[in-house]
Amino acid sequence: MTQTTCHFSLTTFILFTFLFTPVSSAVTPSQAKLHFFETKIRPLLTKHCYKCHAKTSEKIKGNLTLDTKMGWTMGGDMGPAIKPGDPNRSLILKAVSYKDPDLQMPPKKKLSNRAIQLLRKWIADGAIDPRAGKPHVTSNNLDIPAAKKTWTYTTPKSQPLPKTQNTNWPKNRIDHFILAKLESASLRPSQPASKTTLIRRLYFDLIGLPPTTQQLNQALNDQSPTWIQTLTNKLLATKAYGQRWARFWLDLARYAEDQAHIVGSNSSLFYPNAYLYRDWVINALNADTPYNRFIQLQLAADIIQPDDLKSHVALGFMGLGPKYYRRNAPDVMADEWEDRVDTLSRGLLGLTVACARCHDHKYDPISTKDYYALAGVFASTQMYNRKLNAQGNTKSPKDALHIIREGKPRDLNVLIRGNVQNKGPIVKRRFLEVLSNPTSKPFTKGSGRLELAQAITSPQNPLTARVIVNRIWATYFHQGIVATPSNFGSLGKKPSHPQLLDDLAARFIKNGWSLKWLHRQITSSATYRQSSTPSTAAYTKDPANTLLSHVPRRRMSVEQWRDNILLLAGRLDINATGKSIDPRDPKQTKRTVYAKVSRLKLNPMLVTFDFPDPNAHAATRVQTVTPLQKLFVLNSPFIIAQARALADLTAKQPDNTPAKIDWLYTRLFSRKPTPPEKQLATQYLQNTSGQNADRWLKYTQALLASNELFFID
Amino acid sequence: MNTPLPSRRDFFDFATTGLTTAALASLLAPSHAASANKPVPHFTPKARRAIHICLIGGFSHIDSFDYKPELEKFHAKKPPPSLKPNSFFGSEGLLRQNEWKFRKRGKSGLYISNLFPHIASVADELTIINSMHAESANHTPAMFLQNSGFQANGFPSLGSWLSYGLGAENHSLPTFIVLPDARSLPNSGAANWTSGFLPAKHQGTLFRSGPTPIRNLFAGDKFSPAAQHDARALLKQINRQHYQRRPHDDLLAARIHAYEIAAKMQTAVPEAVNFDNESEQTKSAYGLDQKQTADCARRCILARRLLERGVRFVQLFSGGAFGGKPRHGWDGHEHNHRNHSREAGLIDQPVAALINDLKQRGMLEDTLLIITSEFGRTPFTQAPAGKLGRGRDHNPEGFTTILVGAGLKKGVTYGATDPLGWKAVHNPVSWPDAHATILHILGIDHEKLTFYHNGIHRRLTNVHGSVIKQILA
Repeated sequence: MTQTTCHFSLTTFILFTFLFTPVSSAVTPSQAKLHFFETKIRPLLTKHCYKCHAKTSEKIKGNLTLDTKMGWTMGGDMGPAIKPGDPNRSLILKAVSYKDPDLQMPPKKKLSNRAIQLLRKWIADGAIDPRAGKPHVTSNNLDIPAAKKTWTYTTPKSQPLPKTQNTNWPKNRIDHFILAKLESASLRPSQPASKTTLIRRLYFDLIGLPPTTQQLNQALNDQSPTWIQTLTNKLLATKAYGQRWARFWLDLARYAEDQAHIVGSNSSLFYPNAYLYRDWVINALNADTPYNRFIQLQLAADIIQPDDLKSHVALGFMGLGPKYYRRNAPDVMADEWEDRVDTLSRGLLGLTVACARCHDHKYDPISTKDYYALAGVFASTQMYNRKLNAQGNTKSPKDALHIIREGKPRDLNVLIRGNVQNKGPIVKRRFLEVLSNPTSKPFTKGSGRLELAQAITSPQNPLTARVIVNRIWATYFHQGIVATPSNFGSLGKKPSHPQLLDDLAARFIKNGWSLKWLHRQITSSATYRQSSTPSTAAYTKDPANTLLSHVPRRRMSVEQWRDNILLLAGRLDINATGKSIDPRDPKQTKRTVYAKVSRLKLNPMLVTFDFPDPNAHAATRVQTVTPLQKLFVLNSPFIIAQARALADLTAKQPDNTPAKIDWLYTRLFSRKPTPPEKQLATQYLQNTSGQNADRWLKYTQALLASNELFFID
Repeated sequence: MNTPLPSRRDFFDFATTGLTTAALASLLAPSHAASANKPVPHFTPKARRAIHICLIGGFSHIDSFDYKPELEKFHAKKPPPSLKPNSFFGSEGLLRQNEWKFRKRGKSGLYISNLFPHIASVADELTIINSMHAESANHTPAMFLQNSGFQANGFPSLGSWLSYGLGAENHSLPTFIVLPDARSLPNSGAANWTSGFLPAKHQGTLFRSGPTPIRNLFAGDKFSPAAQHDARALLKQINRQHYQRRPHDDLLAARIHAYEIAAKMQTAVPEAVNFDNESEQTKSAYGLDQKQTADCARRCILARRLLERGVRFVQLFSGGAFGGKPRHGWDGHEHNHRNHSREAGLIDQPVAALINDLKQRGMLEDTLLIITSEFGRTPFTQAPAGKLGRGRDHNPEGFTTILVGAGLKKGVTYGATDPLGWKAVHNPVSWPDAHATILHILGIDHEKLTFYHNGIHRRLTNVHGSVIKQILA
């Protein structure tokens, strides 16, 4: 059985093998041979093969058609089906003979011996076939020169600013691109959000926490026109910034601290020190490590700075990836390479290269050779347990970092249809052809990891900068300029503002691949300052808000939400770092980024609130609204403990119900309650059917459970 | 409140990635009710719901439903070289005959052994596939294959695909519920009922035993129901005031709605797990009154009750974690007879009672019951060459799956293993074939139930699978 993981299409492809298939000599077939074909072979093929191997098939299997001569000459995924004159080397006879358990055709029932003899004779006699016509094919996606001319594969450049009618609104370059599109759709930007809303938005976006009342007032008192830049810089300089944005990266890196299969009490697949990689990411972001370096270190720190052992923890990016059962068996290792190629290609390049494991990519200019050229890098790399602070490996995971190191360099065979038994040509380790230039060479240094990292982070690479800029943008605006952030290929969404993305990406590189620079660009734009309430015109004309006529109201991530609640309850320890925690534990005070991430048993709280499955790279977080989330918010020991803590804090305020309600609203929502809200609260709290303290507890819990506490305006 | 609350059945379980709330609202407008995002049955389904009983560890087909008289002749003889076994532990002893007597059962005359006397009594309801084969002889990947069609972890399970494809009939209960063996959870736990890349709401919800099977169903505090009710009313008011200041935001409305559903769940779940209105006769038929069968009986009755209340898919596990002594499950390496006697004793009566009960209530008309194991067991014993051991090893080359209920030919077998019961040789059935058939019975074309993920339109059956038309009624 092949390890295919992608779909075969309804149509076939012209395979490169075609180019090397000898053209059969132009002999006029004798009448007898034609007669033999028409009476014996054509009916046989029609009856037994056309269901899956003809233009009329509902679905063509294996990209092979047998209803034209050219169809079997070109062959399918496994190569030409028939070698005229040579039945023993004709795949079709191998398949019908049922000798190979992995290649048995027709799949349901073996042909009669007589039918097989007829086929054999026909092939031995030269496989005379009068059926002209081209096989059912689609366009060739592997036209690399043509692909290189398309937007996706063109290096982004800084763009001229488009003209806009309104020249007052733009505050920086971003706004010109946004406004031009809005104006061409006869839409206007929304009013700016209130300063308080903006301050809250900046806090949640940049550090994942709300402002305290004091911080809020401090920012409100800054009357300078550049107060946003000042606040942005202040927040980017906190440790909390790295804690907020590390999780963003860890989703892409499918970070986890164990494996999905663990037998009995075997703990060798638990990585108790995996958190050190998480700490590395947090620190790297806080230090504003240039993004190109950030990637290079995660792929090749051991090669770049062999003596700086501490920095090798960055290699957890691949080192903490999934391991599958029965490792070292060829098919299992092939699955693991797929994980590495997938995480690398979708995560860093926005390309679904893993689709080309079994056949050339059906939609993008990526061949199986490209896939195996990259897979070879990981086949030449080993995972291992390195001693915590020294060279050399160790057996005990608790004393180890699980990272990668150089293995024996090897080039892989293309595995035809992903089948480890079915080896095609060897391909040298190298970068994707469509992202290479004529001077690019195969990788020669060890596994090629460093060369791979350099190719990915080359300023000429058309995708790397755009992909990260787009991801960060999407975190602010709920959707990316390319709405499929891990797929910039032809099945991905087209960019809504390609010039803006190019302009940002080009300047991002020019500004030293600085992520903090990018955050500053976004937060200082007028686009970011807009209110989250759409105008009626916007709601009608652009309901998906692709043109960004307002800033979408966003639901908090589970990390933002839990951290917010802990902070409001006075129970968040923003200085706590390091080892992993159970975020449900009512006593736990660490931020949610430190939640233990398990492939084996993901924490139920995380699962309930749409945390992505760490078994694979997650392009985005899905958002669901489920009753189980509500049960957690209403009844979990976690929430009750926080509500109690908040009620205790409220009790310490002056003994005056309206003042306490004011205090709570200011603390939780950075605003005073409206009269109806105050009336509702007063009524509820005055109801004497229960204990007064219990009423306060229930009231604080209701506020913590409220929608307002889940959303960022 | 000016804007009516949403009532469409799948309003709140909508995945909203990449959609703004306004776009969501337009998708949810009644005119778009059958939007492409929500797969629906592709043709008239035979079954609307299913129960899947998973026998963990690999139950022995040759000792139960796959009668091999030849094996009796070869008892205590060497396996023929043609067997080419590749057993899990690589120790291939002498052949051992079936350890329980087989005889013809019911009008259909199906051969079923005395290992399952109760299930044998409903032989005429069964559709037995004797030609299953799997690609792994290891429990964990084989379990993943059985549940998700893939050996690797991280792919959505059958129940999740059905939840995604068919949606819920009753929003006060989860669509897909998992009832584990009281002894332990299966290895890899929730990975067996994960929704993988499907939205999280499609994952199986684990029901623990006891009156509050769902985590956080009730607060562990002292508040009276009246106080809880008051507090919920307060929260609703707070949320409505917030919503009124933010028109057009249907996600906010959906969240208010979800709170109401959660409140309904607080009533619906305890009601479903409360057997007070089950007759003594029913309880005793399932074996609820006997220590040995009580756990499985409880879960079989509960499965039926959940289906009656609109749950789509209930998965029961017979057996738990691998390893340990005695084993929790069907992994009869050491002493197959002892192991299988014990395990069958736990489930035989309850499962047979479930089949009878479903039939008596007319539920078998639109319910599919599936009984599977990740693989079967070897005809040779797990012993040094030349020795006759007591245990049997894993056999992924040939084993048995049983289907019962809607849309099936009853009292029939399909496919066959070789005369020794080692390898499926006639009409072999892979997991994707079995999955395709199960989906078909539930009204779903396995090639059309897809979810776009990582650049691929993913399917339960990957690129494989053929519906076994021969067993369909």
